[in-house]
Amino acid sequence: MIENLFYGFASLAVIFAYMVILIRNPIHSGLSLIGSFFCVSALFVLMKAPFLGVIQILIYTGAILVLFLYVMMLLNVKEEEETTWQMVSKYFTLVLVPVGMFFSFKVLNFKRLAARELSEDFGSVFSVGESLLGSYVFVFELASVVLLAAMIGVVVLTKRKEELD
Amino acid sequence: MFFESNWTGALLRIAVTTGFIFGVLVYFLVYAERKVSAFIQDRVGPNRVGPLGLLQGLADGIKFVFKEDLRPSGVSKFLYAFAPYAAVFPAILAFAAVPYGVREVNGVLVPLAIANIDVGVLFTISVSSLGVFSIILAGWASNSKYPILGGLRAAAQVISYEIPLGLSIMSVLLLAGSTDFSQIVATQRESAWFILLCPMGFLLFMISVFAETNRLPFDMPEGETEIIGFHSEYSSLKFAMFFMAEYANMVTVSCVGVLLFLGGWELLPFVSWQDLSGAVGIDILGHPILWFVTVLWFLVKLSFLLFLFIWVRWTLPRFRYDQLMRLGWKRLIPWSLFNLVVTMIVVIWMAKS
Repeated sequence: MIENLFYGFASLAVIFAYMVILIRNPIHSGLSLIGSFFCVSALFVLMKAPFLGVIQILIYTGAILVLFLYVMMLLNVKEEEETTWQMVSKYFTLVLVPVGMFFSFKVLNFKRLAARELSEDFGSVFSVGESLLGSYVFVFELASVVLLAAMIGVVVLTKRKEELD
Repeated sequence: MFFESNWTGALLRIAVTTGFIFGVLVYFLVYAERKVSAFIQDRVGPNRVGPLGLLQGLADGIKFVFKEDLRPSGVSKFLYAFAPYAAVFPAILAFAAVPYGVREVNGVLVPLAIANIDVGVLFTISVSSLGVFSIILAGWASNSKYPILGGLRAAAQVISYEIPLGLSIMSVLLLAGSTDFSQIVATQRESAWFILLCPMGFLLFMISVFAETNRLPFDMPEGETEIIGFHSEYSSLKFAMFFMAEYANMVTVSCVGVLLFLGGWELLPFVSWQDLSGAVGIDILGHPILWFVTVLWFLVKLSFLLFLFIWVRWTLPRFRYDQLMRLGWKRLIPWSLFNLVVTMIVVIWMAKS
């Protein structure tokens, strides 16, 4: 059951991801991206990582894509005429992805990976927090410094010239 | 059968819970809104359809169904039809992880919910925040300048107030040390209700929640009196869906408020059901029927918070848009950060001593 659900959501995620690049209308593309993120979060839940699944919805769907759509609405983005180069790259991707998927299935042995034993609290909030603030604390702190710098940068950039002086 | 963790049990729970929320809670919430507003404004309120006007909601529902479903010309057809569903779907889904009572099975406390997951708080908050898509899409798909302005304004409001909402919830998560609703309620039973430990968090939570659910004094998204909202171009059932979703969201966030700050289904601050069972001599939580009193008690607390929503709506005037933004970014966010830091210090200090 869980395996079938997994394959269902996985193929849906790929289909939605395809639609993001194949659909001309930017707002429809954005919506397909939401669909794709939803399926990915379902995959996280099925792979015993509910915390990551929820965070996927919270950050990507709930925050980032809302801003994407907001900006697209604000600028009133229209359907764009495609250049030949865009057409070529589109259909190139269309062919490349299945080929890549086929080879990854052949080379990587998914069955062996799936059979690995998981510890009891795998994927729980506690274990994720422990690995973030334990073994990966340096990377974690580094990322937070980068984000803080970006935030300060945004505040400075949006200030008007006169206010700065 | 209802409590089993298999497909039948899950489907039964989903059907009963969703039916109860939309059939009973939302219905009576709309009725209460009209009756309470009538009381505050010294009017009578609905009193024609059915005894005490109780069937007014049904009459309104029938009216919505039979109204003509207009579609303005030049709209984005799919998105125009999709937006109301994008409002209702998160409103229903958010309730999946909300527990609403407890019972004891073989000496273990089992919370009643559609699904008990250990990231329940995060799930509910993140799913209910998806409702903002309906605002953006409805505003954009209507192909009209007033809805798009209303949509932009509403989306900015909802995004802004999500920050103090999240920060005030984080202080509770720190105090409880868990993201599981039932664990948070258990912590409140053992220590004290978080409204007593963290009153500022409760205040910030309530203010942000009023803005999130588009209620007065922050009802900029609807703005029925002078400005035009994101669903101006919607009529008939599609409008009713936005309307229902708003009330369902109120129910969900009130449930979250009860669980996080008012001790969930627990009896009184410092008095638990277990204490009462000991005093009366009947095992209330383990009893085959009596445990249901926890659900009723939860509903009593829920009604109190919902009454607060209505009370505030008919008492306070609306904020101007710039005042709303200033309040959100320059007052609520710094205060909620302050609240979070103080909570952190207290939690660390408690752990040390």
